[in-house]
Amino acid sequence: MSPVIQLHWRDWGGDSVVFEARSGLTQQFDPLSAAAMACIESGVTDLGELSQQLAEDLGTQPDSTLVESLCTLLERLTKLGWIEPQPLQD
Amino acid sequence: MAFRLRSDVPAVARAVERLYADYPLLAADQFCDFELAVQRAAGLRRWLRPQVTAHYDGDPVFEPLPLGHAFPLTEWALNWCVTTHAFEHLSLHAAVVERGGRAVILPAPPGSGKSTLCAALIHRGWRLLSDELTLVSLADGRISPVVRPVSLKNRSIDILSDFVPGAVFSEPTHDTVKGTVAHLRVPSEHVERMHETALPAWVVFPRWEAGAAATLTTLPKPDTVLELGRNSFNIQTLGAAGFQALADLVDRCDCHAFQYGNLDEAMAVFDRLAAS
Repeated sequence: MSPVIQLHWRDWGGDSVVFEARSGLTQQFDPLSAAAMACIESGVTDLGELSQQLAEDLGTQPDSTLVESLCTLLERLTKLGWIEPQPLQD
Repeated sequence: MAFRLRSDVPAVARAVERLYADYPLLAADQFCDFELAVQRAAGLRRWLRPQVTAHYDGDPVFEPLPLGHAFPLTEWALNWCVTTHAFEHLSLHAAVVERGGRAVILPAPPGSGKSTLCAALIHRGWRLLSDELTLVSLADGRISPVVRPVSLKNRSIDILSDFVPGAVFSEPTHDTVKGTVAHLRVPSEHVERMHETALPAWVVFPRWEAGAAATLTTLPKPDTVLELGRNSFNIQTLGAAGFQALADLVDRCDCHAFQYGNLDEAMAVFDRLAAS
C-alpha cells in the first residue's frame, strides 16, 4: 500500500464509504472489497495470501471467481494510486 | 453573517429595498463579514453594451455581465462569498428547511426543481434556512442558516406566483445563463429567526418530472454519502474533518430520493415526513 495514503472509513452494515485524505475523493466499496482493503492495510501484499485470507473468512476455498474479483479490485486500487504493484522477485 | 453592499446600479437598490426590507441594518462603523461592490463597468463598457462588475474586498469575483443582470450577479456574488469562506462548515449545494426543530436537506443539481420545492415548502409551514447553501457545522453538525431570497428560474416563477398569491418577487431578469431569473422575498418571520440553527433529520434528493406522482424512496446511506459529496463545495478542502461531518450527517438522517410533478402532492408528502 502506498505510504502517503490516508484512509477514513464509514459503514452501515452493507457497503462502506472510504475517504482518501490526499486526493479528497470518496469511494464506495462492497463488503468483499472492504474486507480486502482491510487485509491490504494490515500488510498483506500477495494476491495468493489475500485470496486465502478472505476465503478463510468466508468459510470457503479460494476459487477463480474470488481471484477474479480481487484482481478487478487491485486494478481499481492501482488506478486510484492506493497500491503500488511490486515487481516479481527472481 | 453580515454583508456591506455598495452599488451604483438603481436596479440593485430597488431589488434590495423590495427583498431585504425586513433584514437588520448594520451601522456604518460595525464589523461586517463581507464587503461587496456591484458597480457599472468603467471605460467603454460604461456606455456601449454596458456591463456590471462584482468585487469582493476590491477583487473581481466574476466576469462582467450585462448591466441588466446586476441584481442576479449580486446574489451570485453573495453566494460565492459564503461558499468560499465557510471554513468552519461543510458546505453543500442544497436547499434546507426546518419544521419542529428538524431540518430536511434538499441537494440537487440545477434544474431538478429544488428551489421550486423549497419556495413552496416555506409557504406551507417550513422555515427557510437556505435555498442554495447548506452549512453544516463541523463542531456540532447543526445547520447554520443563510436566509436570503429564493432564486427561481423560468416556469418556476409563474408556478410559485400561482402557488403563493401575493408573493413578492424581484423584477425578472431575462437572458441570463440560467434563463429568466427572479428572486422571491422571504417571509418576515423567517428573517426574524435567521440565527436559529437546526439539527438535520432528513436528506431528500428532489427531482421534478411532469406528471410524476409524488414518491419518496429510501436511499442507502453509502450512496447518499457519495451523492452528497458530489454536491459539496468544500469537502476536498476540509479533508478528513469534512468527510467525518458528511458521514455523521448521513448517519443522523433518513435519506430519500423524491420525485414529484405536482406541488400540492409534494407538500402532502413533506407534511407526513414532518409528522413521522
